[in-house]
Amino acid sequence: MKSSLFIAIYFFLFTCSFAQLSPGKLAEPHALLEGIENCNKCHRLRKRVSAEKCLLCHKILGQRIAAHKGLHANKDYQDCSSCHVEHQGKKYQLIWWKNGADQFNHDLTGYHLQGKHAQVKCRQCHQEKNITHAAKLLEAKKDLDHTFLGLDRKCLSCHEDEHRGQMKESCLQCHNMGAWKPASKFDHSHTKYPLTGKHADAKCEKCHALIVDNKFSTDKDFRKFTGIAFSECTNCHKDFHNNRFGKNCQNCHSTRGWNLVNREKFDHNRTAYPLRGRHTTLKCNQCHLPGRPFKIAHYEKCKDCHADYHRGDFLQRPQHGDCEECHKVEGFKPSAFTIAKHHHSKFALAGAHLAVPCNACHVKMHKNMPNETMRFKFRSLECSACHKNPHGNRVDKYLALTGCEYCHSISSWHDMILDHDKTKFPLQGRHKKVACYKCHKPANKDKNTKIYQFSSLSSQCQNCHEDIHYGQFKEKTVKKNVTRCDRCHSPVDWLAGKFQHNRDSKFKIDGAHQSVGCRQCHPKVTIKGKTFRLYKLLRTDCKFCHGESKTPLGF
Amino acid sequence: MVNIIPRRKRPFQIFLLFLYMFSVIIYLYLVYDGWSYYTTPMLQRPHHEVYRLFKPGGLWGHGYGIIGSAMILVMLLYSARKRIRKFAGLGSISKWLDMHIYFGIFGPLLVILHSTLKIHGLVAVSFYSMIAVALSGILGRYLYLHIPRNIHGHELSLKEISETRHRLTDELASKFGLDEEMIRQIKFLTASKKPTRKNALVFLIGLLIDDFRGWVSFRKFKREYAARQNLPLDQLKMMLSLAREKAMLERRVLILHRVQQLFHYWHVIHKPFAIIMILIMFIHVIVAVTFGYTWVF
Repeated sequence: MKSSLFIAIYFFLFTCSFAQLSPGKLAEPHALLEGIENCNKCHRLRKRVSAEKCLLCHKILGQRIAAHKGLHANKDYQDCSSCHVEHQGKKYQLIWWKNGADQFNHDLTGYHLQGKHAQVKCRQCHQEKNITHAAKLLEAKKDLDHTFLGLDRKCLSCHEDEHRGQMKESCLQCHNMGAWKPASKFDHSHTKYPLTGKHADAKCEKCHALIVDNKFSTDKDFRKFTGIAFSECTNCHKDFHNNRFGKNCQNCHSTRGWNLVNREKFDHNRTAYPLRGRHTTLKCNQCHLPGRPFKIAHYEKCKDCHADYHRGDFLQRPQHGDCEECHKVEGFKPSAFTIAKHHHSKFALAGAHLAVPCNACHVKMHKNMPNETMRFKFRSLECSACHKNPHGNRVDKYLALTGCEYCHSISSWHDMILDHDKTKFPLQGRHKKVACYKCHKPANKDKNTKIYQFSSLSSQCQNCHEDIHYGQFKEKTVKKNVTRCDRCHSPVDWLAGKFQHNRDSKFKIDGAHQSVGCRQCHPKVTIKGKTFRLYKLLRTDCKFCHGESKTPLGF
Repeated sequence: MVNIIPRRKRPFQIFLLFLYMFSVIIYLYLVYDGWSYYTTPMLQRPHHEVYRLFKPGGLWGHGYGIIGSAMILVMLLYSARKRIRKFAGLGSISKWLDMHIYFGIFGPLLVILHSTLKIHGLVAVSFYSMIAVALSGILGRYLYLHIPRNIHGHELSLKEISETRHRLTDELASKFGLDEEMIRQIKFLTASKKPTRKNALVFLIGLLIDDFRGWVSFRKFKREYAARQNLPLDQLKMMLSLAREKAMLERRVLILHRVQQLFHYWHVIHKPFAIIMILIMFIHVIVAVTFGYTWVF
């Protein structure tokens, strides 16, 4: 027995020198409390582990409990050792989440996680950079990477100030916990500048510029929300009118739309393009076409808006085809291109042309076609460019000389200026008094396409005149069958002034014959129904006239 | 005159049997009840839903510790009974030993539940001492059985052993007519030769093997003899009881010296561990009570 007792005491003392009373190692954060001398730092005699002892070290927690803040202010969480079990070994995690940290009911802390906050991991918020008073925690020997203390409820204690101090109110005045964008609680109508009309549809960035300041590594720019001048439209909008209408845009425009101009108030004459003439009757959208910029970039010239009706016919003119040269805003017609101006054209108007309406020469081409225009360019200035040649090719030789004007006057078609003496048939005597058409008759019978005879007209008398002698004087030798009227007659009168009986006939007049009238020897006869005076007697013997027969001609 | 221990169950043994059965059932239920907790890794146990109940300081766990410790303390009464003369009249030493063994088994088992196998610091020495004491108790009990004792549990002297051997031989020959050959056969049923192995561990293993072998041989003998002898059942049981007693005694005589030697050394191991266990247990209890862990009190 003695030996057993001796061995037991020896072994007991031996083991006591190594073994501790502690039921297990303390967790790493409490490692400094290891050792029998430190038991009473956590344990109270006959009181087990006391929260009071814990809070002697965890002063910040004690202050929060006293202030009824945080998880530990709850009655169910004031017994420290019930959750933070000790003596479980160095590796034991003193903070244990019953269903995982993600399932922790954050409401117990007094801070209800909403929206995005409910989705993030604990350490996305509870991290060193978000701790507001780190020095205080460091003084309390808190590991800033592990503590859940030190966060402030202010948004900016964790989040970077997207607005760079522009907003004085709480973030939640405009934003909600669900998402930063859009700022669902923000109501622009509560600002100094309520949005109306198109402004309500405009994107924020249209007015609130993005400013790059590189302030944060993850947020290098921000939008300007305050300090934006808005008293005048031109604070944001460009004054397209260059201050011609003053600075009060709302006199004409409204936020309903730039193009929705208040016509009653709007005076187009104050614009760079005052409306005149027909322009005053137009509707806005006839010039300010829908779907195109309201501001018309070029309007100085008519063709900036109007299509060139003349298809560039006047581009070669000094004014390069400016419409104003001929037209006025009062109307496209009539043209302001006066006769006087026409005089300065290549084709000065004269004579009958002065009385001709413009469109008689400047006729419409491609009528009712998309490319309808008026004819202003002519292949030549000759009459034939406009007028139809009724002579066919019969007057070509004259046309080749001076054109129509060889014969016709510009005053009138019918005023002939032709010197008939220059023709093969100079007019003499009674011919001068005869109307042209009396001789120059149409060669055809078609009334619409009369082709008058001129150069083709024969100069033979019988071409125009009837041979009342019925062939008695036809040439029988040189010009066979041609009656040479001119041998007896002249154009002065029809009298046979040029006939000398003794010279020109075979029967000489002498004697008593000289006092005999012509009609006594040359009677009228009717042969084959034609009555004429017989000049060429069949015989010249006396009997023929004075013979047995009572008829001079013996018929 | 040494009385032969009758094979019939006595009331105390029946009580003991029921006590063990009841205790085993209760213990198994407690293990089953806390199985989920006990099989949870150490670092996760504080998060277990029954941690507060089954932790060493919990309502159940602390109760196991207190009851187990109390049983261990009660177990010490056996030593008092053995050593203090005033207690000599308080029942037979073998009954005290049986209760000592009972408390020595279930006390540590409850302490194991109390510890939840989370064993650290000084109390770990007590715990492992307890385990050593309990295991060595089982070994001691095994060795104890191999030392011939009278009905009161007192160790027989060599003379008493010799007398008992002769008496058993006479009774088998006179009452049941066994011849010398048969008696010689019974003599060597469980032991054939004297052990010579010096190594204690090898001896103990050999002891176990021989015991098993002897058990098998005796069963074989029982079958053969029962078939051959046409005895009434009570007569047959009596004869077999005497034959078993004879065979065991013959075997115990052969190993007596060696067993006595080992039993002596066993005391040297069993007692110091028991003392250390008790001392540290007291320290553990004092510390626990000092810091307020008083269970329901």
